[in-house]
Amino acid sequence: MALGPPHERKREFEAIALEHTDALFNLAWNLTRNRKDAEDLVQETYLRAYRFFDSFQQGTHIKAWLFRILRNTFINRYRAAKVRPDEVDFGKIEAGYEKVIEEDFLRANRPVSPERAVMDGVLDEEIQTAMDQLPEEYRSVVVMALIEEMSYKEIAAALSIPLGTVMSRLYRGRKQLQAALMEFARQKGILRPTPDV
Amino acid sequence: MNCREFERQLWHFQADELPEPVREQFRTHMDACPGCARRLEVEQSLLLGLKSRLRREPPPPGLAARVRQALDRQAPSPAAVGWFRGPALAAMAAALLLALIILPQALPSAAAEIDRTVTVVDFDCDRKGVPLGAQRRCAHPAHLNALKISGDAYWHVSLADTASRRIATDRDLRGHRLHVRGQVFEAIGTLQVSEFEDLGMIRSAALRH
Repeated sequence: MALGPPHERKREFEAIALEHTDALFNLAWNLTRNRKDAEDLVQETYLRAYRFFDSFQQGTHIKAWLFRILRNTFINRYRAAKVRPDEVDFGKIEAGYEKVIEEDFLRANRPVSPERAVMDGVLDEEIQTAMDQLPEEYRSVVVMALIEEMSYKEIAAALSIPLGTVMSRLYRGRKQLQAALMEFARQKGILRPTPDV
Repeated sequence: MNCREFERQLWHFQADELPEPVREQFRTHMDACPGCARRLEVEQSLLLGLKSRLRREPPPPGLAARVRQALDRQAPSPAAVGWFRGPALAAMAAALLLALIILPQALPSAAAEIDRTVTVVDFDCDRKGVPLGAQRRCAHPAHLNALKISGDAYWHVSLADTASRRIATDRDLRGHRLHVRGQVFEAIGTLQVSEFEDLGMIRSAALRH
């Protein structure tokens, strides 16, 4: 029996889109912080993507396209409705963590470097807390760059933002993340507290 | 390259987003400036630490399968291949279809709209009391599916459209609960399906009855 075009279209869509299910779920979870909401968001993303499959340009990055749909769906449907963990601006201390590291490096007699001590000493939960506290636009870029290892160009396509904005959001996001980890490390005594100015 | 420029481009260097000539300038500057070399060492250590600790949250088992099912519900597939499974089946179905086409009154005009859940069974096997599990394995070429409403009440499925034909002929649907909408012609006990939703296999315990 001959298969009509719609059936072939669905098979084509499934063949190229479903391999990104895990990556989509990861971004959805980082945005919603709830596994059930993340699964719903992924399903809705795929349904929307299939509905608009004709608008996808063959030869371009389907992963970036799917990420864009997921993030837009999150912004439209979930961000307005859900209570999110408080986003924290570490701006006041983010510029100083390098100095903290260096002062500790000079003062302490450590078997490992202070930055290594920080990464060894913080818990996975603390790293995730630091991620949760990032503003969403920074968190999305950090997830795409550090976990999905997407290039700046792919991230720019996924978020529909200029390349320069990707760089600045990644820069700010990483700075805040690292500053937050320094703060955890300081609270736990891994790093010596910064003297009052 | 000076220290300010080095710091400005540091993370692009880490992201491997700089052209080779600029990367070469970086390496040259690091050889001459211990402070900047140490700065890169710190950032590299933090970046690698983050990358190793920021893992993908594993998806729930079966997520891709549920996505496929959701896509199927949104875009039902055409009539199943089973429609042409054997010459006897094809001949029988063709005869029924022909009857519906050449007999304009084949479907009585009086019909009622329905919207309910039913079970797909092999009509002939079910009438003989064959368990659902065995019905799924029955490949008799003359057996068509029917929709079981209750203990001994069935609806036959009209073969006049794609959705109904699939329900009538797909052996894999036997034992499934369907939520169907359509028109039922009570006089001939036939349902013309306009749309249906596959609710999945009936609980395994029921298959043993």
